[in-house]
Amino acid sequence: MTTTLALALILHVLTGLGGVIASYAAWIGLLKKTPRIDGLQRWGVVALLSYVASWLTGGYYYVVYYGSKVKPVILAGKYSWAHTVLTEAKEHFFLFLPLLAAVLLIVLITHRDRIGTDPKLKRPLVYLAALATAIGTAAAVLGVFISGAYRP
Amino acid sequence: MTWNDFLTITHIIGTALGVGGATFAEIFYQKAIADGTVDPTEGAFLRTTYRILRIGMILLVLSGFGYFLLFRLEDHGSRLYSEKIWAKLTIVALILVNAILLELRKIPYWLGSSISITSWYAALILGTWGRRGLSYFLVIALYVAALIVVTAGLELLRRKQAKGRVRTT
Repeated sequence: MTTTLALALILHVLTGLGGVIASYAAWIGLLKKTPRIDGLQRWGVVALLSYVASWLTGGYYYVVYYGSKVKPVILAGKYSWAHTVLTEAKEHFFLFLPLLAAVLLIVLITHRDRIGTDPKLKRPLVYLAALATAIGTAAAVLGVFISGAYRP
Repeated sequence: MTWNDFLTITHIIGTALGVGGATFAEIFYQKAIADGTVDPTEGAFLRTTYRILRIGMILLVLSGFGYFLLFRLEDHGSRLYSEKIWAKLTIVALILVNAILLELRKIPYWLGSSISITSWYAALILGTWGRRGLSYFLVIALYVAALIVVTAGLELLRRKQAKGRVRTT
């Protein structure tokens, strides 16, 4: 693996984790009785940027290296389900993350005055942040499984 | 210093902060409610302790994923399928879910604090266990047994403290 690819993989994992931590922080912040909107917006920005960075670096790694070098090894090994089930699932639901983070941030910016007072707005935002955290966590766990299946 | 050394140090610091934070969160909480109310100073101590706990958690998770990256980049993929690692990941996930349930007040404090303390100590013990093999189900069974013992122990302490409070009033 070249240094650029190793760097892409490292950035993919670290920025993905950053995104999960940021959406988790936004989720917990939204659960408070009086959410601090400035703090939530900062977490929203971090989540969006992190997920976009993870998307791009993960995409680069997948297209340039995974498909031609890693995938055939996994498929030939005894954990072929790691690709046929896990990677196939991950590469679809992971696409939602930047979009969910973008929606969260846009609402936090455009409706900042209503979030603390309007439960009809706050509740869906809580679910949105929770969903982003859950999908991000699932993507991270699947990533560990997929990497563990690669036995060159 | 190698990456492995760096990750080990970070992982140990994260675990130490988490174990210490969970322990002192319980001690400070017991001290704070001894008189029936949590005053502002006691509240400030508790908030600081919870912040330390969160820092420990972040360090633990980041260094844990650092190990994952290192194993992947060095082609030691088989280590990622260690049952001990998955048992530890399950326990760390429990710490996170428990923190959310406590924040939402969807779990009674007595159970939430027991899960927090037991999970942090379990993560510490698993971390020091080295590469000796442990089955996933054995670790989880031992964890559940420890959780029952810790919950009972803390409940006894609380009852003893409540009795003392009744006597002094």
